[in-house]
Amino acid sequence: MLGKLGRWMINHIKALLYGLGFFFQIMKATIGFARKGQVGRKVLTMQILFTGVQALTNISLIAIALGAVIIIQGVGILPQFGQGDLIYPILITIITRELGPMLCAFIIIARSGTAIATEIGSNVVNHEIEAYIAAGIDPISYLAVPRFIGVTISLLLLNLYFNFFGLIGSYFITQFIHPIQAAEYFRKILYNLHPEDIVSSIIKSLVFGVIISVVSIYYGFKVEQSSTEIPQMTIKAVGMSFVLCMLADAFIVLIYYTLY
Amino acid sequence: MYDIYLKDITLIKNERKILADIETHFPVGKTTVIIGPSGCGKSTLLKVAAALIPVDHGNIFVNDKNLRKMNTSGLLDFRKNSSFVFQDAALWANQSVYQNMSLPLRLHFPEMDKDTHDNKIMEMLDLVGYTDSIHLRPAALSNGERKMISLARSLITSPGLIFMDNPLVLVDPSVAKKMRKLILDLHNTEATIIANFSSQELIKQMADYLIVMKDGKLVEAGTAESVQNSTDPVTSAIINSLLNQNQDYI
Amino acid sequence: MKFQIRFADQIVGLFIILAVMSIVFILIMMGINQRWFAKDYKYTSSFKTGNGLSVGMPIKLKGFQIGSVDKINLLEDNTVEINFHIFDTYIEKVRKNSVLELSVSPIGIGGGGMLFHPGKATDIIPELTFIPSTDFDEGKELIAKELVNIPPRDDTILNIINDISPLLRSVDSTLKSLDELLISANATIEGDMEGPVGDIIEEVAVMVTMLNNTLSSAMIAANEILTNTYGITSNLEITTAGLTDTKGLVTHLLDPKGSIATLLDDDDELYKELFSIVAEIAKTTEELSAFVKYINNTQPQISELLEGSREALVKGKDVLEGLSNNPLLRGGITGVTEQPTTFMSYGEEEF
Repeated sequence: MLGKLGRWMINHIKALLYGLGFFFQIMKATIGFARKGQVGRKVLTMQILFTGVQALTNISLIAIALGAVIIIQGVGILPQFGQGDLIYPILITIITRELGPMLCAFIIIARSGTAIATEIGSNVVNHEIEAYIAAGIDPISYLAVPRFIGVTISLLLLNLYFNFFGLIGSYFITQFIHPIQAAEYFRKILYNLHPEDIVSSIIKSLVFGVIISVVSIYYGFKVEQSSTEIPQMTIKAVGMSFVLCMLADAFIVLIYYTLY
Repeated sequence: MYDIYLKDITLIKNERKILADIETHFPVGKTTVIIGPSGCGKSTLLKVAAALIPVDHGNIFVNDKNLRKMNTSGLLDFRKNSSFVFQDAALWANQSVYQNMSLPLRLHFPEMDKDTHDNKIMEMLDLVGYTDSIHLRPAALSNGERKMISLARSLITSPGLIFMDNPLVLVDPSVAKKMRKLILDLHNTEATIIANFSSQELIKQMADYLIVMKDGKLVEAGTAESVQNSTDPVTSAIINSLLNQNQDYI
Repeated sequence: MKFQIRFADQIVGLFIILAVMSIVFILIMMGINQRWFAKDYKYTSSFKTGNGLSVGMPIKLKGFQIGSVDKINLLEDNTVEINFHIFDTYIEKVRKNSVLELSVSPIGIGGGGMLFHPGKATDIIPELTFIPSTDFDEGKELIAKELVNIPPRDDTILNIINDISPLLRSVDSTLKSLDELLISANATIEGDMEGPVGDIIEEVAVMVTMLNNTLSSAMIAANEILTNTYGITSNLEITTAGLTDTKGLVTHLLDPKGSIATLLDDDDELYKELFSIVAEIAKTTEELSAFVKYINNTQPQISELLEGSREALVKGKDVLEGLSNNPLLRGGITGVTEQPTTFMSYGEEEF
């Protein structure tokens, strides 16, 4: 029993150290990519296209719906307590600081995290990774880094779009149900939006982007021989991405509320 | 030109020794063929020699330089001058045939102008006879076409060292015939070839040196003639089962 | 899909540029809205307490935010120093003799805040200068000297409460003057002071009228509390009536036919009567002075009472509104007749 626990612990510590080593290797290669970045540039562009541009429709719809629901509910309920103006801080807290980055991360995990883990997994099974190595192409630089940068940048940009649609787009939807004066709405939104909200949102989306990409790539490369490992590793990548994103979010929120 | 020397190579997977204390040498400009029963570790040894999989113990020396201690440019130079023909074509699935051919060229010859680059690709595709497939993705090709294009891709940088892992396996006879001819042509160049063939004809026609393996261990290594005439019972049993059959066992 | 892949570079470029442009636009708009690029003028002030003060608290002038509080410090002498800034767009309001006032709403929500009252002078106060607050005499004096523009207040309760202080000050000062006057009247009557007695008596009459008016204002605000002062008031009324009666002493004295001689030839009757009046006034003054002190000490109770009254009024208004909205009763309720001030009705009665 004790021996089992010990082995389990040692294996997990080893896996953690290996994961950290993998992460630092990607980081190192990223610096190299920024310097050279010729061969992998196309891969990066395609990654942003798949992860960012193609997810824009989903993101914008969710953002508009969420923002509209908050406004409609808030405008209906808050004035009853004489706190009608609280709608703006609530909207910013939910859209910009809390749910925005998290929902974007969830969508990216579902769309691109799974795609990356599956693609790299099948690359391994089909010996494409070995073919890259044999051709002198470092799979970390060529496959991992563009995906890492692409997902991170995409999540950051999607988060910006989420904010844009959530704060501005939702206003126009609300007009059909509960008209608010445009000048007043935008003035108060801009007045209640603080740089620290934006910084917190950006940091979150960057951290989530790093987590999702590294975890998905890691589990993709963990596939060894059989194609049946691919779905298993994909599920693990999704689960681990969720957990790490939640933990990172809690950590960032903790820092935010300590600082402000 | 590369002279490869493997020293005390041991590879363990799932607590099983895939390769055990292998020490051997692949002479420059010659064709060395690794033979042995199925699952004896031929492909693995080939990949270890090509530095595609890391080993648990032992070292690989390339021109007397330890591959583990080689710097990036040295390793890149080794990759530029060597290539690997995989058992399953291993074409990059998300890239077209053109892109599959282009990637090694762009990496190793960044200064090459576009015309030369494109001509080189067309020349190689012409050699294997699939110029029409240039803009197709591997998924749109037949297995034989993929194998031929994979061979063309591995030859595009004109490597001096070629590793071949059963290129003729699962190929229909007409494609196999074409491919056999191409491989035999390579034998007539100065390239060093390290191969794992299951074709009796290829082994007989190409092998300058033979390495006999069984259960992850090296049984015997030497010139093709000496190995074929070996008195070692294990070696002669393997030779008998593989080479002295009436039919090609591909 | 093929279109997207063929123009991947352009689409991705547009995707990035639009996102960057939107964030830049939002940042610029935020900056303009939150005045990141505008100059602020910094000043200091001090208050007796930090209660109700907070960093970031808006400073308002007639309901417009013209600045905000940056920093609050407790000084060694236990006064509270604040650093605040005024927006450049309102800098011309920061004139000499300006005063800050911390107004706290008695009912808790709304109504309170930091109010800025600009001075009536024309010169603008330079940056980093001290601007007095109404917590200290410096600020109070500026208001008393009418050097400050103080707008009428929006909140009725605050208005009443804030108006009581000057009223009480006025009562106090009137009483002081009255006291002085009586002393001099006494002195004159006793022959220590020269001058026509008529003038002095007239002054006494004017003063008493003033006192009457002042008290009348105070009573509007706090008539319940004043119930225990009926005695004082009645005494004062009798005295006042005695002095102002057209057929009374004053007229008699002021008559050109009337003179010191008449006074002296009157078998001391007039003198005695006058003396008793003066004594009465002195007594009343003492009582009034005590009352003023009492009023000063019971100001919080007045606030409470007023708050209660206001609530009652609001409820009453609601009931009336309800009734007026009832179609069965509409038009059936007689209009509200104007209620004469309580004090005046007391004054008209004999008691």
